[in-house]
Order: sequence, then structure tokens, then C-alpha cells
Amino acid sequence: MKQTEKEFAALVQEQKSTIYSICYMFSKDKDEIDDLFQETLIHLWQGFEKFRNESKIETWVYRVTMNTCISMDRKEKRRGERIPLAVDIDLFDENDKDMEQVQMLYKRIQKLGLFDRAIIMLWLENLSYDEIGEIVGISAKNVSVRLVRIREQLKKQ
Amino acid sequence: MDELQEMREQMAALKEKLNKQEVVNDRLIRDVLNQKMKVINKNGWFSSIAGLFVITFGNFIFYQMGLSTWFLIGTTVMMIFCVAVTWISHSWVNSNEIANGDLLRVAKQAYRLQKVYKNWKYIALPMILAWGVWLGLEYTAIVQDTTIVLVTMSGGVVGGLIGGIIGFRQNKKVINELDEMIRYIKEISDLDEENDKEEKGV
Repeated sequence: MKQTEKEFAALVQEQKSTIYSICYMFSKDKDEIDDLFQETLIHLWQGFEKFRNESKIETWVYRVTMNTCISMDRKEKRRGERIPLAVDIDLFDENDKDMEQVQMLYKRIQKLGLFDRAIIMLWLENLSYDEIGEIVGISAKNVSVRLVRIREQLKKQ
Repeated sequence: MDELQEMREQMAALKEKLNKQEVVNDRLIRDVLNQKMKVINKNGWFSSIAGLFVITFGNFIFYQMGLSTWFLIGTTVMMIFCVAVTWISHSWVNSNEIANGDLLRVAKQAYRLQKVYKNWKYIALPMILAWGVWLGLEYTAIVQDTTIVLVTMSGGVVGGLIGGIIGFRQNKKVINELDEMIRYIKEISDLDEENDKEEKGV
């Protein structure tokens, strides 16, 4: 394996749960998660060599993942030949106690619009308002206003 | 509890689950293996075409030169043996198996093919030397002029050395490609083993 490939594999290994959980929140079934996950990895790989450390690598990963999840949803799943990814877990089919919690989270997030979904996912990743704003392209103040509205919306559910 | 805080805890549970998962892009690895096999097979095709060229054109030249029928038969048998070994050993590593089959089986077949390439020098070098001496003896029997014999044989030795170096480099390249294939498969199977152990709580 070349050095770049090794570095990319290490990045994917490190960020896989973040990428996968975001893909999960934008999907309706396991196939769709795999589609999004694959598409995100392709986009990350395409941009990896050009990445110039102008922002934190994590911020860049969030941005690419969010953009992929939102644009794939808008294009109504552009499905080509799918590369099977060896992630054995099926988050839609597991039935343990932890999964009850995860599925509750999923249901809550699914009720939000795509943009709000992106903001809450980034907030759940413990990102600051500034970082969230930088990724989704709005000001930190707007992020805070949006989060208040999201909180109210969630309370009503 | 505040909804958002509760969601953070739920998110932590999701992350914990996902962190236990190993991401291996199986298809990508198989594509890489298939690319490597194409390079290896290209070498096999090149050797086979060279062998068939010697059987047809080479034997025609030897016949025109007046070399014995036994020498022509010997050359043909030697070349058929080389081409057959190449074809048979290359057929062990099947591209369908790489694309969809058991990768451990592919690794075993690749290892078997690598063994043939590694041992090839022990068969090919004595065979080529014996053939060269035979050719020299046949040639000196029909050409009496010492100068012509020396010039032709020097040319033959230089040509043989260049061919030998190319062949040796190709052999080394195939061995290295097979080495990488085996290593890739081993990396995946090690990951699989680790995952199995983790699942069983070992």
C-alpha cells in the first residue's frame, strides 16, 4: 500500500464511526447507509490528496460527509454499482438495550429537516457553534438560533 | 433530562457500537488483487508467445541452418514444456475466484504459483545451458570456419545474457507481485480473525 493510501485508511479507521453515524441519520435502510458511506469515502478519497490542512481534518471530514449526505438525498439516491463494505452491524435490525436508545435518537433526528439534521449531528459531535457554522455555511449566531428552534421542535414531539 | 443532552448520550451509545466495527473495503482489495494478477498474466502471455515463436520461427531457422532433426525435436519439447508449465500454473489463480471467491484459497494458489516462479531458475538455467551446449555442438559440426563459429557464438552468448537478464527481472517482478497479493490477503484475514476473537470475547 502507498503512503497516501495508508494515511487515508488510518483516517477512515479513525473517523468511521462519525461518518457512519451521520450516514445512518440520513438513511432509511442499511443499503442506503452503505450507499452514502461508500459515496462519502469516494469523495473523501478524491479530496484527500488535495487537502492542504487549511482547516482541521475532522472539520473537512464533517463537511464532505454532510455535503454527500445532503446532496445524495436531494438527488434521490443515484445508485450505481455498489462496493460492499464490511461493516457487519445492521443498525435497523439490532435489538439490544443500547439499540433502543440509538433508535430513539434516529427517530428524533428523522423528524428534522435536512439542514437541521446536519446542525444537530454536528452539535452532537461536540463541535463549537463556530465550527458548525463554518461547515454548514452560516454564522455562529445563526447556529445558536437554529439550535434553540430544534430544541423546541424536539420538545413538541 | 434535556432532550439535546439525552441525544448526546444516545449518540455516545451509537459511537460505542460503531467503534467496535472494522471497515474493510472488500471489493477494493479484490480489484487491487485482480490488477496485480493482470500484470502477472501479461508476463505469462509474453513468455508463451516467445515460446511459440521459438517453436515456429526458431525451428524454421534451425532447419535452414541444417541442424539435426533431434535438435529440432528437443527444442520443440523444451518449449512446449515451458509454455505448458506457464499456462497450467497461471490457471491456478483464477480471476473469478479473486472477484467473488474465497480469498484464502486465492492466497494458497498465489503461493503455489510463486513457488513455481521461485523454483523456475533451478529448472530453466540447467535446461538453457544444456540446450546452448547442444546448439554449439550442432553448429560447430556443420560450420567449419572457426571465425564464423566464434562470431556467431559470441553473438549467441551476448543475446542469451540479455535475454536471461530480462527473464530474471520478469521472474523477480512476478514473485514480488505475488508477494504483495499474499500480503494483502493476509492483512484482511488477520482483521477477520481479530473481529471473530472480539465477537467471541477472546
